[in-house]
This record gives sequence, C-alpha cells and structure tokens, in this order.
Amino acid sequence: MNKLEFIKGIYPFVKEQIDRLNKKFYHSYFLFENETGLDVIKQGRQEHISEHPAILGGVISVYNGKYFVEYSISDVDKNTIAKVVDDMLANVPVFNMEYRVPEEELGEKYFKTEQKIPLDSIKLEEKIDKIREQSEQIAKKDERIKNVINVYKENFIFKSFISANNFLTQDITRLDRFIQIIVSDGKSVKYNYDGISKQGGYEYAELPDNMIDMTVRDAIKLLGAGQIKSGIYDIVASPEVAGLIAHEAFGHGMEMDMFLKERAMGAHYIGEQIASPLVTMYDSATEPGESGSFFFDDEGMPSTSTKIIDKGILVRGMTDLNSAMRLNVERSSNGRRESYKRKPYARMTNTYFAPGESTKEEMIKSVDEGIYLIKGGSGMEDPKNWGIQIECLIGEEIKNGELTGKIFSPIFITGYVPDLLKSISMVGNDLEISGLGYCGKGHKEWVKVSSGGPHIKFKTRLG
Amino acid sequence: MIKKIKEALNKNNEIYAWEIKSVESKSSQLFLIKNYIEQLREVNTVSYFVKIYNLHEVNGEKQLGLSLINIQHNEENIDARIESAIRIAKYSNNIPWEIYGGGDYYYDKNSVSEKIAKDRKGLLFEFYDKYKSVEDSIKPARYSSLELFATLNDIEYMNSKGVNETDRRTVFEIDTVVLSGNETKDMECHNYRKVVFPEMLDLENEIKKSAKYATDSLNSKLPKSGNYPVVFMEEPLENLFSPLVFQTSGRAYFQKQSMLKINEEIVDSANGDKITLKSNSNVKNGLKTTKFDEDGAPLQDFTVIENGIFKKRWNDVRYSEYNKEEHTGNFANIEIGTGNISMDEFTDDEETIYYVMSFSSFSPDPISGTFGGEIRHGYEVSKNGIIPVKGGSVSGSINESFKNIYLSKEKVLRGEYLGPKAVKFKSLNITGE
Repeated sequence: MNKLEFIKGIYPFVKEQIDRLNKKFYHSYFLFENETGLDVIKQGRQEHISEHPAILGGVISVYNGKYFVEYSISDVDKNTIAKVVDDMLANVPVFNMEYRVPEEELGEKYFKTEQKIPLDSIKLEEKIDKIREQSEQIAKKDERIKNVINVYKENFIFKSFISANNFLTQDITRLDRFIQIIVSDGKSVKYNYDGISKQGGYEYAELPDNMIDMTVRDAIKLLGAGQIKSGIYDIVASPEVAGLIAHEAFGHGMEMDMFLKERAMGAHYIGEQIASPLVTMYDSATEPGESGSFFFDDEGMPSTSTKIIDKGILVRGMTDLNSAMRLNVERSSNGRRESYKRKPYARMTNTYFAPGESTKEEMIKSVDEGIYLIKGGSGMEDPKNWGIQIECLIGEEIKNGELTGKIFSPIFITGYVPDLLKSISMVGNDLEISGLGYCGKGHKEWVKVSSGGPHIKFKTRLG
Repeated sequence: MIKKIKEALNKNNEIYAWEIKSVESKSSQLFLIKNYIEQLREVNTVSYFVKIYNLHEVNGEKQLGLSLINIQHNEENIDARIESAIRIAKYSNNIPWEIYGGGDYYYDKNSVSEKIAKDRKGLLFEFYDKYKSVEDSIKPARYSSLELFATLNDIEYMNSKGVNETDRRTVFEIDTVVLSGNETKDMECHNYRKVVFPEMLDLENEIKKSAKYATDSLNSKLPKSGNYPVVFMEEPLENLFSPLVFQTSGRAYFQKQSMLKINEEIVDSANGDKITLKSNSNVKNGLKTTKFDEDGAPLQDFTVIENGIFKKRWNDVRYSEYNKEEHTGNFANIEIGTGNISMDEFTDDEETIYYVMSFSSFSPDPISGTFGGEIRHGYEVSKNGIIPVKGGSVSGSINESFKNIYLSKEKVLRGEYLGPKAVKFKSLNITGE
C-alpha cells in the first residue's frame, strides 16, 4: 500500500479520535510522517547504496488551556492511536483556556512536488553508473586528490496533518547532490565541497562542470592557504556566505519562541532601523524548488513568506503555534520539528537577502585592501546579544580592486550584528539560494533549511 | 517481530550475511518557558535496523554489497522489503569483509539509571521542583527556559554468525538558559548537559554557575587581539580531541584522510605536555560506556597515542580487514592523560591569559584539524585582575597549537570525555578588540 492510500484509509478513524479529543481539549491534531529515500555514496573504492533509514511515525497533540501535551508513536495503527487517545482523555488535565488557538479552515488538500524528470523514471543502474563515472573523472583531475566523496540522495518526505477542520497531505521530493574533494601534498590534508539540494526530480542530478572544477581548484589552493591576520577588513561575500550571515544574523534572533524566552534582542527593535537601507531580508517556505520549502508546516499552517527586514527596518519575526498564541501575532509557517519524535519550535525555512543593483566585479573593484569570502562553513547565533560567528572555509585577498590569488583558511567572522548589517554598502544583483545545510536550535533539533542572497560588501572583524 | 525478520532473512539464499539491531525507546520530555510549562511529551518508538549483505562478482572479482533498511514494528510485507534491499545491495561494489563473528567476552556495563527505567515522568517533575526551589537563590539572575529529556533504550543486536546480545542504556539531557540584567543590558548563559545518571548531575550547582556566568557577562569586554595563552575548560573539552580520535582511526587511514604515522610523534617538536589518548569503555556515567559497538563487538579499552607517539590505529571490523590490522572495536569514551601541574599554576608567569568556558559553537575539523570559535563565556586574567570576556574568536590547529599544550592534573568527566579539567595552549590566535 502506498503512503497516500495508507493515510486515506486510516483518516476516518483518526478523525473520529480527534473529535473525541476535541470534546475535552481546546485543540488537537495528528501529524503523520513517513520519510524514505535512496542513498548512493561513492567514497574512493567504497560504495554505499541503500535505502536511507525511514522515519515513520506520528504525533498526537492537544492543547489543554495552559500547555501542549504530545504523544509520539512509531506504530501508526488503530490500536495504538486509540490507546494513546484513551490515555490522554483519562490522564491529561484540562484548564481554563489562557490563549485561543488560531487555525485556518482549509478542508482536504493534497500537495505534491513537481518533478520535471521523475526520479522513478530513471533506472537505479543509470544513477549509480553516473556517480561512479563522475567520481573516476574527478579523481583524475589532479594527483594531489586523495579521495573523492560523491553523494546522491533521493528524499521522499510525506506528511499528513489531521485536525477538526483540516486534512492536509504533502508529498515532497528532494534531491541532494554533494561532492567533497580531499587533497594532500604530503604535509597536510585539506578538503573542499559543493553541491545542490533542490526539491524536484532527476533534473538536479547533474552537478555543473564548472562547480566541480571550482571545487577541485579551490581544494588544491587550500594546501597553500595561510592564516589571516586578525583585524577589521573590507569584505565582499559570495551569495553562499551572505546566506550564512542572513541565517545567523537575523534568522535565529527572529524566531519568536526566542521572544517568549527573552532571548532575542530583536523583540525590542521591531520598527527600527537595524541595517543599511540596502538590506531587505525574507524567510519564505513558499520558494519553489528550494530545500527549505513545504506546503504546510508541522503544526498545519499553510506555507507563508515573511519579510523580516524591509530596507533596513526590522519588520516582524517567525512563529510557531505557541509563540503566535502567546504573543498574539499573526501565525507564520515556521512551526517545524526534527521529526515526529520531537516538539515543534519556531524555525527558519529559506532565509535570504533580497538582491540589489551592484555587480560582483563592481564590488571587488571598490576594495583597496580586503577579502573575498568565497566558501562558507558553519555559523552560530547569539540572538540575545546580536553576536555572530561564522566560519568560512575559503577567503581570497583583494588588493587595489583585484583578486590576488592568495588564499586564507579558515576565516572566522565575528562581530555585532547591527554594526555588520549597517556596514553593508553594496548589494549584488545576483540572488542565489543554497540548501546543502541543516540548522540546529542550540546544539540539537536539526531541520533542513536553505539560505542565500546576492554578493554583498561590508566591513567587519575577521580572525 | 525480530524472530519474523530473522526467519525471512535466513530463508533468502541471496543474502551473504545479515545484521539486525532493534531499538525500543521510551522517552519523557518536559519543556518550560521561564517557569511555566510549555509542553509535556511522551515518546514510544520501536525500530528494527537491518543490514543485508550480498556477495557478487564483477569482472571476475568478488564484491560485497550492503543495504540498510529500517523495518517498523507493524510492517506487513517483510519479504518484499528484504527483496528490495537485496536488489539494491547487488549494485554496490566493495572489497569484501566479514561481519563480526563473536568469540569475545561481553562485560555488562552499568549504564542504567533506575530512576529513568522506573518513572521517567516522575523524575522530570522531581527536577522541575528542584528547579523552582533554586529560582530565588539566583536573583537578580532569572530563568529563560528549561528542557528535560529522560530516555530508556533497550537494544538488541544479532547477526547471521550467531552473535546475539542485548543492552539497556539510559540518557538524561538538560538544557537550561539563565538570564541576568535589566532592560538596558541583559545577558544569558546556555548550558546543555547529557549524562547517563541524572542522580550524578548537580542541578543546583549547574544553575548557580549559569547565573554567575550570565551576571559576570554584564561586565564583559572583548578580548585583546593577538596571540595569547588560552585555557579551555568545561564545554570545549567535549570536542577538543575529537580530530585525534578520527585521525587515529583505520577509516581515516584507509580513506587517506590522516597524515599520522605509527610510532611517530603526532605533532613535530612538541614542547608542552605529551598527549596520551585512550579508548575507555568503563567510565561510570560516560556516554560511550556501552556493552557493544555498531558491529555487535564488545567495546574495549586500548591506547592509541602514548606520550605524544601514535602507537596503533583503532579499527572496526571492516577497516581491520581492509588495513590488515588488529580489530579493536569502535572508540569508546575519550580518555586523555592528565598532566603534572595544577590548573591553578596555569596563570604563573603569564602576563595575560584567557580562560574559555564556552564557545557559541565549537566543532574542530576532523580532517584538517583546525578549530575555532566565538567566546560565549570566558575570563581575562592579568595584573589588572579577572575580567569577564565575551565575543571575539579563538582559533588554532592541531598541527601547530598542540605543540605547546599543557594538561592539568585535575580530572573531569563531561559527556564522553574523561581527562584534564583544564587544557592550556601556550599561544592561540585571538581576534578581539
């Protein structure tokens, strides 16, 4: 039985159980999750070709007037669901309602990712052969290449949300392609990586030749990379690094559960100028094809696009259901879970700076002495104090308006977020969104996100 | 269910070998914002992870294919899932290796908190009560959030060579955020701890320490820029030595990701303390104190680096065969040998020295060995006294920074790290003022 038939078959029973819960509680829902996929990973002489471990289960959630109570189960069958509902009705207390639960009435809806070339239309052998052939070709590009990790992942993310008024189902397909090149000159080992993560089909299976060539070229350059002298620099950041800045700077700090916890400085600056007037920033789950997109979030909210910063003015944040209720703000579709086993939090989706008018060449030409940050790595938020930390894998020196070829690695960006954003003096016309990464909340709760932007020019501290 | 899966695997003659790992997990979770409950959760899951091996020939050479499937408790068509996995495994070409065949003795590890096994929800509310009782004592600091997770895992491993073992493990996680300050200046301290025995976690002390760090941060400044001695304590210790664990693995050697050579120094011309790195599978409350590893083999104690010299690689079953080296099993808890001097002496002869208790994020790169992070909580110690520092970054690399490393004689256990309570680098690059 396929996933859609399964959920349609069990729906009348689940709806009955939700109706039972709603006689006692103020709001209840059932979220079903079934994530499957295929992994093809070639790493030197080793191959890993397998289904990836499925996520299959569900969560029943109720609001008792004061707080939410949830039961997560891996056995999604009538017996288990009925037992959970009986237990909740018998043991979960109910209180006077403190906050009203906002929910749109949408009825029954089914959403599916469009695949231009359906993944199931290509034979497994063809997919594997392509990865093997490509890995061999990459390995021959330079004798300093010691290993090539070539990853192809198909992800089928199926979720259904059942509440009093809604029966929503989404069937999302995402393809992840990733290469990591490990190089050595006998004295040290370095690596570089790149890839694509897009919702869609086999049309994203091919990594562009120039992406592969650049990844190899930069990996080799890293063997001679030096450590940057710490100080304040004029910086041009690639769209990938700009995306990391968007994500870490005013992404985490505008997740509104952080407002409730008094952990976000942004709560005090809504409506104020916190960035250069050149800066406009969005979080949007509605971007077609981007890896952080969906049709509804894990609390049943249809996908939305949120303008977080408008021409430098802080506009609003992103909500999960609890923060929207308690702060009495309009819900956005940012209630996301790592899986059915975890609670929802306010989380980002696709976060990016809007494009401007400058070109990358104009930006580099305008720098006398500075750094072009090419490749990002990881970052960490500090919404409470607007601190930022981003580790970049590759930066190249700029002198007299030209790239010199001198490479530094790793480079750490640190600073005070408003200072950094107010220093943005040029914004590129070349928006790119990249979705290779996952995002954690604190040090856990990993969800798929993307981030991006155009090239941007700014000034901050590097080390 | 496990019997059904085993029967289905055994009757299929295209399977060269198989492994099953079942994990039954029961977890209670409590979430608070400030001091009110936001959410209460119960999680009950059962999963069966099945590895299926297929031996086949390609151009006259034997190749091993491996496919992994996750079968649910109520799976109706096990045979079809297995057929699909075999079909995929047939396409996967690897140098063959043999799965673990048993023959070693398994020691029962003490990895179960009876409180978690018997009454998870009761335990959470016991911690909640303690948490509330401490609130007044940390003023003017105050609570932002608390998350508690109490989990019991029952694990069974079996394979086609007759290995069959069970293990029971508990995990307790606590995530707290404490705030201190006022409307004009407010600071936070985030603390995440993961242990086996909640009884061994001193909640009151953890919260009071967080309150002190948050309050101290109100008077913090940026560190100075330049090269300074830096002492790592608390949170950064959990990951500091992880690149060495990776670099000493058979996997890193086989995949040409390690430059370390047996019987040679791990860093050239080291002047500081020499590092000793051991796998220790018997640390009480250690997160890696488990009965068996991913291959079903008993976790063992062994030394990979002794006095700065790389002595031997650790190898799981697969890489032991690939590298034709001893099978040690996977790495257990990371034990680092302590040094000879007290951490109190680390400040001697230093004009200015920095102490870092936590970074915003700290994940040293396992391949390149580089590390760095933004200081979340730290102190500058100089003739001017002790000044809290926050912001700015510290960076270094194993190849260079470990040449002048000093290890305290005091010991600490954090997560899966057992070793010096304080680690001093004679010189690290700081980007600050």
